[in-house]
Amino acid sequence: MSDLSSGQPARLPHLTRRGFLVGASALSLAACGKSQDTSSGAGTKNALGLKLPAGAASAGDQYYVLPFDSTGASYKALDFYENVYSRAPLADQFNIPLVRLNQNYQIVPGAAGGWEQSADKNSWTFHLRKGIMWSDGKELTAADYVETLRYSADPKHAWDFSWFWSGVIKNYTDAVAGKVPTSSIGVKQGKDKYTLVIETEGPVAYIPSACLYTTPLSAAALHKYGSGSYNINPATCVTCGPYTLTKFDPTAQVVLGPNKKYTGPFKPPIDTLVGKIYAGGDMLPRFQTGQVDQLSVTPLDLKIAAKNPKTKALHLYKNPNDFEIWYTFFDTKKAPFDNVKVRQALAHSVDRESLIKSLLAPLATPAYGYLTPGYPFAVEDPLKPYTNYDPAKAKSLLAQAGYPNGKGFPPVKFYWWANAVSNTEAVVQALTHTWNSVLGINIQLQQLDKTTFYARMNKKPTEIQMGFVSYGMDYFDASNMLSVYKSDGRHNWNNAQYDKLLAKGAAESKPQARQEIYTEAQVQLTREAPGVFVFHLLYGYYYAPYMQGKALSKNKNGYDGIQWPGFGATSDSLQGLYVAQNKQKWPRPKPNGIS
Amino acid sequence: MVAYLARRFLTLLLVMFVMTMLIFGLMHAVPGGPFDQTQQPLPGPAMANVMRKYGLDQPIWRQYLNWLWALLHGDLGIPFEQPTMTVTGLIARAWPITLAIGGLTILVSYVGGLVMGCAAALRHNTWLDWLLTSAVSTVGVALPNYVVGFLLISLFSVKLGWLPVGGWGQPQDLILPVVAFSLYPMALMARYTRASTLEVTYADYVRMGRARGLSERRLTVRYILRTALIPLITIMGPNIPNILTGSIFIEATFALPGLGSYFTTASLHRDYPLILALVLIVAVLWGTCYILSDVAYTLVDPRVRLEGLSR
Repeated sequence: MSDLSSGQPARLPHLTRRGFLVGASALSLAACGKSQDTSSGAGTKNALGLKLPAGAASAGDQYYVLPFDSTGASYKALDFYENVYSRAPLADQFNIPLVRLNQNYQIVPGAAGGWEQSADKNSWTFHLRKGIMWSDGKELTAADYVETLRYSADPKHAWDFSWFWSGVIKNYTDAVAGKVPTSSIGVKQGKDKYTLVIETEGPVAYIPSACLYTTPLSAAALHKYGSGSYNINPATCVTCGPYTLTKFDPTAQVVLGPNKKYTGPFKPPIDTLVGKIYAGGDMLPRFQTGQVDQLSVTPLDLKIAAKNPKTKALHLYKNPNDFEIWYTFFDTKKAPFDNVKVRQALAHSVDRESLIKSLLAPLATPAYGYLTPGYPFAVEDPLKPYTNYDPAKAKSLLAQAGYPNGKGFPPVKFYWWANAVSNTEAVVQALTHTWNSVLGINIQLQQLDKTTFYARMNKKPTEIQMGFVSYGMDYFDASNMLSVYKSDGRHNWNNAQYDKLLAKGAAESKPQARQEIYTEAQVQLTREAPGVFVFHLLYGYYYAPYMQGKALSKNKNGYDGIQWPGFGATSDSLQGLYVAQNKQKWPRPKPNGIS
Repeated sequence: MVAYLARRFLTLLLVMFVMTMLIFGLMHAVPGGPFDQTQQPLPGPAMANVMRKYGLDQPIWRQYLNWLWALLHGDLGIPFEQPTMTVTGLIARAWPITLAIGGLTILVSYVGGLVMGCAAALRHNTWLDWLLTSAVSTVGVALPNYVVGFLLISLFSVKLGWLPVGGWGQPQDLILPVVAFSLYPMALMARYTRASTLEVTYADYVRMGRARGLSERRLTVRYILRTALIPLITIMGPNIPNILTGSIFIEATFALPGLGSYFTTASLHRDYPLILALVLIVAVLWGTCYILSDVAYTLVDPRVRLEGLSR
C-alpha cells in the first residue's frame, strides 16, 4: 500500500534548514562572484596608458556598467550615421566628431582643432588634428567626414535622420530625394586632407553646434562593407575612438573594451564600458545588488530609495539631459482653439509650481516657456506674464472668447500616451481637473498607444484636437527647439513673423544679436500660446559611491551628474569619470565577459 | 488515426492562412506605421526612401503575397527593428531561452500540481488538504507572477543576496523565474487535480472496485488518477502554448532576453514581419496542442473516441 493510499502523510524529499542554507550560499557565490574590495590604482596606468588619479581603484577595476531599459526599443546599430533612433547602448564611441560639448554646455574642439565661417557666411571650414588613426592603420581625414555625410544622403541607405542636414548643407535635400548625386552635396575636402569645408544653403550660424553630430564612419570600412553595420561585429569594428567592440548582443549586453591603437587626444580612465540591456523590470534592485553602477530614477524610485538605508544616503544627481519639455498642443485651425484667448486662458489656468511640487518634484522644473533654463538663448522672466498662474485672468479671457464660465464651450478630447518617467498619467489628470474646475469647461481624457498618438498628431491635417506631448532637443541651439513651432512644422500654428525671427536668428552670427532675436521669438510664441507649456523634465541619477570624478560635479547652470550628450564621443564626460576604491563596501560583482 | 490527424492538420493550415491574412490587414489598418514613431516626422523624400527600402511602398495585397511567397520558401523576412538580423535568426536566439524557462515551468508546475492535488484529495478535509488547496494554491492563483517575482527578488536577491536579481547565462539565473512562473499553473493544476480526484474517488465504479477487494494502490493508480487526468488534459491544452511562448512579465522582471518581450515591442513598433511570425508560432502551438490533447484523451481513457475513428 502506498503512502498516499495508506492514509499516511506523503513522504517528500527532506531538505534540512542547514542543507538549504549551504546550497543557497553556494548558489549565491556562484551567482554573484566575489564582491570586490578594489585595491588602489592611483598613479598606475590604465590600458590606454593614462595615469589613474589619486583614490582610483586598480586598472583591472576600471570598468563601468550601465543599465539600459529596452522596453519599447530595439537596437540596430552603434553609429549615428547608420541609424539614429535605434542606436544600441554605448553608441558613438568609435569615432571623434568635429566638435564636442563640455560639461558647461560649451562647444569645444573635437577632431577639429579650430573652425571659421567664410566671409560670405555660406560655408564653414574645419581644421582637423593630425595623427588620429583608425584601428585599421589609416589616418582620420576629411575624406571620412565627406564619405559619411554622402552616405547619409543616399536614398538607398534611407537614413532615419536625413531631415537633420536637409535645408542646411547645400544640395542635401535634393540628394536625399534622388534628384542629384550624393557627391554634389556641399561637403568636401579643403586645401589639404586635414581641411573640411561644409557649404550651406545660406548663412547658418549654428553649424558648429550641429557638428556635434559628425561622428564619422571610416571611409575605407564604409566602402568595404557597404554600410555602417560593420561596427556591430567585433571582427569588423573599425575605431578611432578610445574604445573598440568586444561584444554586441542587442537583447542582453554590449561590451566595449580599450582600443589599444588609439592615438586621439581624449583618454578616459575607464577601460571597459558595459551596457546591460534589460527588457523592463525594476532597475532599483539591480543597482542595489551592484549589477549596475548607475541608475536613472523616477519619482517613484526616489520614494522607495528613501526608505532603504543604503540608497537613502546617496546623492541624487539632477540634470535636464536632452532639455525635454512636456506641453499641451492644440489644433489651432479649428474652434475652439483657433481663438488665441481660449489658448491663453488655458495657459493662465495652470499652477505649474503646485503641480510639480505634488507630482513631479524634484525631477521637473516649471515651463514658463518652451526652452529649459540652461539651454542656449533660453529666457524665463520675459515669458512669465503670459504663463503665470492667474485663474481670474483665465476666466476673463475665456469670457472674452465667448465662453463666460465655460458656457457654450464644446466638449474636447484630450489625448495622451503613458510615460512613467514623466508621470504623464497623473499630470494629464491634474491638468484636466484644473481646466474643468477653474474654467467650467468639459475636457475628457483619452489615452492612446505611443505609435498611434504620433501617427494621428503628425497627420496633415492633424487628427488630434488637443494632446500632451514632449520634445527633446536634437542639437544644441535655440534654432532646433524653437523650429518645432515653425509654420507647417510639427503643429499647425502658422505665424509668418515668428518664422522670420527664426530665419533671422539662424543666419545671425553675433551671440548678442542672436539672443535678442530669440528672446523676441520666445515672447511671441508664449504670448500666442499655440501650446500650454507645463514642465521641463529633469533626469535623476544615482551612482554607486565608488563612481567619482569631475564629470559628476555641478556645472555652471547648477546641474550635476553625467550631462547630455552622455557617454558618446560627443562630450567630455568620460574623461572626468573613474572608479574609485570601494571603501563603502558597496556590492560590485564583476559582470561576465570582461577580463 | 492518421487520416484524422491529417484532416486536423490540414484544417490548421487553412486557419493559419486565413488568420495571417486577417492579421496582415489589421496591422495595416491601425494608425501608425513602423517608421512613424519619431519626434520629427520624416520629410516626404526621406520617408519615401525608407518605405521603398522595406517594400512598404507597394500595395498591401502585393506585400502580403510577397510575405506568403517568402514564407513558403522558409523565409520569415527581416524585422524592421533589427534589420541586421532575420526574423528566423531572432526567434532562434530568443525562443530557446523562453523554452528553457517554459519547459522547466511545465515540469515543476505539473508535477508539483499533481502531487499537491492528489495529496489534498486523498487527505480530504485534513490540515494537509487545507494547507495545499486553501493556502498554497489560493495564493498561487491570486498573486500575479510579476508580484511573486518582485517578492522573490526582494527576499532572495536584495535581502539575502543568494540568487541573481535577473539576467541570463548561468544555471542559477533560472531558479527565481521558474519558481515565479510556476506558481500559478501549479496552483491551478493542484485545484483541478484535487477536484477531479475527489469526484472520481466517490464514483460508483471505484466503490465497486473497493468492494471487489481491489487494493487501494491499484484503485488509485489504475482508476482514480487515470480518470482524474482527463479534465487536466483540457486545461493543459491552452496552458502549454502560453508557457512556451513566455510571459512578458516574467521575462521583464528577470531581464530574460526571451521571446515574450517581442510580443509587445513588435506590436508597439508595428514591426509587421515579426508580428506575423509571432502570431504564427502561437497559432501553430495552440492548434497542435489542441490536436494532441484530443489524442491524449484516447490514450488516458479508451472510452473516448476521436471523431471519425469510430465509424
